[in-house]
Amino acid sequence: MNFRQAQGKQIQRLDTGIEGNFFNFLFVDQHYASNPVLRRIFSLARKLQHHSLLIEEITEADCALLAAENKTLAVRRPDFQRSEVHRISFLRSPVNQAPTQPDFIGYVIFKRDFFSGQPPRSHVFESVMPPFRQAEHNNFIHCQRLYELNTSLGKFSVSGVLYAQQNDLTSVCAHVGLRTALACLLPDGDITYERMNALAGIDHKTRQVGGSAGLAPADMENILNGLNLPFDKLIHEPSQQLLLPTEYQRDLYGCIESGFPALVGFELDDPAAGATGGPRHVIPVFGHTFNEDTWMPQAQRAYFGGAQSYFPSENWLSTFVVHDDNFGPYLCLPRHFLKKDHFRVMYGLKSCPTTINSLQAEAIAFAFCNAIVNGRPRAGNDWYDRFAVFTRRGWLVLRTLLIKKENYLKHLEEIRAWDGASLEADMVQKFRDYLPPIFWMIEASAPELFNSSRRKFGEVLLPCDKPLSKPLNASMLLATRLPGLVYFRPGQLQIEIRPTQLKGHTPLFSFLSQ
Amino acid sequence: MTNINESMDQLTESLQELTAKTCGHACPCEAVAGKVPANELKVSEKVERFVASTRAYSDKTRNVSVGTY
Repeated sequence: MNFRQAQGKQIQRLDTGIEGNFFNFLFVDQHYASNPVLRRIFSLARKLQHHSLLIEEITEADCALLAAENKTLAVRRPDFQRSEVHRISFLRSPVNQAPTQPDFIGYVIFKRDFFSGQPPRSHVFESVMPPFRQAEHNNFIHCQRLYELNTSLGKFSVSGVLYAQQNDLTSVCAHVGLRTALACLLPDGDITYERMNALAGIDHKTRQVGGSAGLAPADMENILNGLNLPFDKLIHEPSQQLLLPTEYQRDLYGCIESGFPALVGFELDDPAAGATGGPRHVIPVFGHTFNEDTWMPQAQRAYFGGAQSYFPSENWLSTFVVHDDNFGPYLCLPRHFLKKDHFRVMYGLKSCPTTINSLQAEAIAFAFCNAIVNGRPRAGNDWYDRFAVFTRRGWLVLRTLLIKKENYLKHLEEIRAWDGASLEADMVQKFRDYLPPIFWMIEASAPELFNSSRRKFGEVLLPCDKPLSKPLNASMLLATRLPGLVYFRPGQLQIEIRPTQLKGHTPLFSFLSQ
Repeated sequence: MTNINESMDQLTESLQELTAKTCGHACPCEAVAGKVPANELKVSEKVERFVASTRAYSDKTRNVSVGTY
């Protein structure tokens, strides 16, 4: 039994309308020890138009997870006495009206732990709020989950990314970051700290966390491996002479854009740090914002010597959407704010092991676009011929996603050119018969086609599980769909080319339409 | 003023050239079904080197575990 399903005891139903003289700051100051994360969550609730609160008390008798958490705390700190837990639900309905599902905004679990002879320690054990900004605001969070709550006013659900704050005794930043990331992927939509600690070998006696003791990258990997979750890892450790040759933001974006969460670890500034470096922090990253009018991609190339062969679509990313257990949920991290000076590690979670990462897939796809254009500089339709020009001149925009076959097939069935043309049914069937369950899709577009119309010339499909051939050759190609043409590679020796009536540009793939 | 954007000029020139030559859907270069040898799609050495170097760095750092979080 977790905190969402626990039968709570209603202790307050409170009007939070500003006209009723309710103030978030005052309320958090008076009742929740001025907790800054709670203030952030209340501010999100305000933006989402909360008009009342339901405050319930959760006890160990109602919630096995709380009982287990407290039992562990008592091992870690023998002076632990008891805890007090409030489940606060934010509602749009006024206090005198029974809430319905549309009235339910989200919830937070606030836990206060008491120790003998010391002031209580409090933290936000978990919270799920919906992101305030949505796709129409150019905010994209592909790995939200639906959480159901059993409250004293009825059952409700909320869709969002689970947030948690460390207690610095049985969980640290790596635990809560992992919890957020894992919640996006695991069937139950959550994981306990007890399970993570068991996988990392933390028993709170011979090995403890908290204070200045955290989880090492190897511990995080033990947790991910113990759950059979594949991941990409990037390391940048100047003190070990390990210098990442690429920008981690490209890999991070590749992961997020494929609908998976990631963890980014960094070193803090600390003038007193010795040879081992400063303290470190890790945060989960699970979304991004998009700036369709950004100056950077073209300016980088024209003014600052960026000799690129194409524009990665990541150039139009504005910020990454993150949780930070120190500050709260749904914060925006500007794309290049966290530079390599501080960046140290990234774990990008994914649905299956891959032999190449998104950056490598993109480079290989670009090479195939070039090879196709070299073999066929023109095809007699405007949009293929433009594709060829943009490829040859280094002006393609490439967007890379790890995609499931069923998602791609649905996309193929839905896409239309401006003239209404669709991909022929027999062609879709050929893709259905031929494609593996998961593969890389690299969408090819042009700057104005990509950022304004959100459309593309077509896409290159590459296997994600095949060992790289040496030298790299067409065995790494599954198919390529371009205006008026589809390239299939049914065997090792030949590539089959089929004309299609779909000769125009088509919409980019979107998880929102899936 | 220096021409700082040669790349854009080249793109513009190619698109203009394409526009002048457009001959509609009945042109002789129109796509038809066919097969080509797979080895016609060659991956450039530059891309091959990039993939090899990034994979080598991943292999080198696979078991690295520095610091705590």
